Amino acid sequence: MSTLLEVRGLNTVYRTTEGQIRAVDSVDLSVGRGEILGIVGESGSGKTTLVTSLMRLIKSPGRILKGGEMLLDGEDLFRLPRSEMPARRGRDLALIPQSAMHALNPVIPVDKQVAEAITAHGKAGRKAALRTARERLVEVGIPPERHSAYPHELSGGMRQRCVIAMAIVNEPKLVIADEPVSGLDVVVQARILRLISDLKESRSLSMILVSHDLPTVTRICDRIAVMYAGRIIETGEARTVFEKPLHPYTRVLVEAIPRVRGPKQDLRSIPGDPPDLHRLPSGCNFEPRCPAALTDCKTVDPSLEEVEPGRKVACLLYHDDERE
Amino acid sequence: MRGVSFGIAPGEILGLIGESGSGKTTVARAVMGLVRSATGSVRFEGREMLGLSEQALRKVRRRLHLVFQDPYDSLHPGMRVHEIVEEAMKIHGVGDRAGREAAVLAALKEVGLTPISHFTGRYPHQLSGGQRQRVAVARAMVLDPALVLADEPTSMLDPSLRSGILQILKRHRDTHGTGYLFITHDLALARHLCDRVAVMFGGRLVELGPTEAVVANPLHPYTKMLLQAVEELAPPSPSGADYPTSDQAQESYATIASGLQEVAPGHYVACNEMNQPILDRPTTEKEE
Repeated sequence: MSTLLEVRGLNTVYRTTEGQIRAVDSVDLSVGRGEILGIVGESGSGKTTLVTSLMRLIKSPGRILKGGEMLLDGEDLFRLPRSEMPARRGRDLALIPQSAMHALNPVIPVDKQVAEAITAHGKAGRKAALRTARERLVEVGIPPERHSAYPHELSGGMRQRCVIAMAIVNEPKLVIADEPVSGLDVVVQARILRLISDLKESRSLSMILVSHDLPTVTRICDRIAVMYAGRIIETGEARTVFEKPLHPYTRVLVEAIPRVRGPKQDLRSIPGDPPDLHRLPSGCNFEPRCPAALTDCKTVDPSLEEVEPGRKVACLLYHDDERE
Repeated sequence: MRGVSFGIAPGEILGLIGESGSGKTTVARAVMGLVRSATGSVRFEGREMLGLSEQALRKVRRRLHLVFQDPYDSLHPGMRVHEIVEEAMKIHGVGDRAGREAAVLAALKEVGLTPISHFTGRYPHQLSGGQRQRVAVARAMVLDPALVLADEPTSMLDPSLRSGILQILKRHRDTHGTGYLFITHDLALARHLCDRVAVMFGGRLVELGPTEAVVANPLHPYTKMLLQAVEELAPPSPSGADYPTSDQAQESYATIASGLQEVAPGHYVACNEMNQPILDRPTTEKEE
């Protein structure tokens, strides 16, 4: 699989009244063609800032620090002038935002909105665009009789399908989905995820899928990266990370999942609170809550290192040289 | 909501399962006496709640408490943690100042907000979502209610903090014998917490039974569909599914549920619908 996206040294900071915080801290990631990379993180992990940074939609008081690279098909999007970005969004990289209700214009029928996404890039005339828009709506499972409906006339699942249609309509190189199923009922969640899997097969979609829900991500992603306090702390092939989590944080995430089948185990939880980016510990960010912390973890800040081919973890438990 | 019947025994956790629009929250509101148009009967500790005057209801509510879904909305932003937890005791005229303070500290300790001195003087905006929900739970526990109605109390929390709240509820049930109506859309979560589950669909109960029995052997087509979705969203299982058998279903407090028929001990289902596919879902949320 050839590499489509390569991000190196991404840092995004916010200026706050209490000083500067680094919401995304030295993040490297890559997405292959036809691959789905899942990014898992809880509140304060920086996943939304990461998505916003990749779309280059970070606004003051936030900014992306110089020195990072975002190579999409070999072209560094961070080097493009800001004015060039609107033309790239939707065409090079498209976003499926968190709330479909807020992403849609309430006073325009959905087929016209999807068509607008095409004409905005000057790719087709109005009639041709509307025709393409309707084809995409059918592709995502909206029957023709609902194409001219307004967003409020559709269910949450249907609206999410429209937003997905809008994201793929210009055949972007990369789709970024931010919590595409959160807030939907479980039956609908399952259907939307099935749709994303189907689209991945039929269109060999390349995608970054961001979620707080590890099982969801494991189901449909090829690889996953786990974020904590702005950093990626573990990454690897999705099933492997899920079945054999290495980082103590990932382990708790796996053991906190209630299961409907199999033996009923006690659900784990993490003591303490999500990290406060203003007051990060001097050693490992997870050390204050870590059930497996070593003495060195208070002082040594572990880097993300390869421990097996394709498997990286930022934890002293697996770094022989740093521990000595 | 129509024809909904169920009972909760002291110390029992009943899960009320259903999707948005299925009527779960309305059931909780009706139990609290907040739905004026409700007809039928709500008996709490032997006393009929429907038709009670506001004054009489207020007395009953001392033994009945709600925990809401959104800990960002349910705490007064201008009150400190100890005031929030103490307020209900003041309203009901419970204890003197020293007694109330001791009860507040005990409740905060029970929900794990320690060191307590670090939290009592704080305002809600200074707390994380998980801490806020703990304050809401402490507020519900401080009057030692007989029944707690918890409306999706963990759905807005991070997965790593969710189980902490569930453990507190379970422990409180074990030590105080409190009954719980636990409203959730998550059948997997209910399996870990609830003794029995009631499945709601389109404002009606369609299935009710011991949790393990319902999960192992769902009978109503809607329950089946829900379970299938949950399994589809669940992480892939490496070792193959280990299905519990329905004879593991424990004896439970029998409930005569109107419109439901008992098909196994304590396991009720809306039988006339058992083998019918769900064609037109009577919920507001129409999907495909």
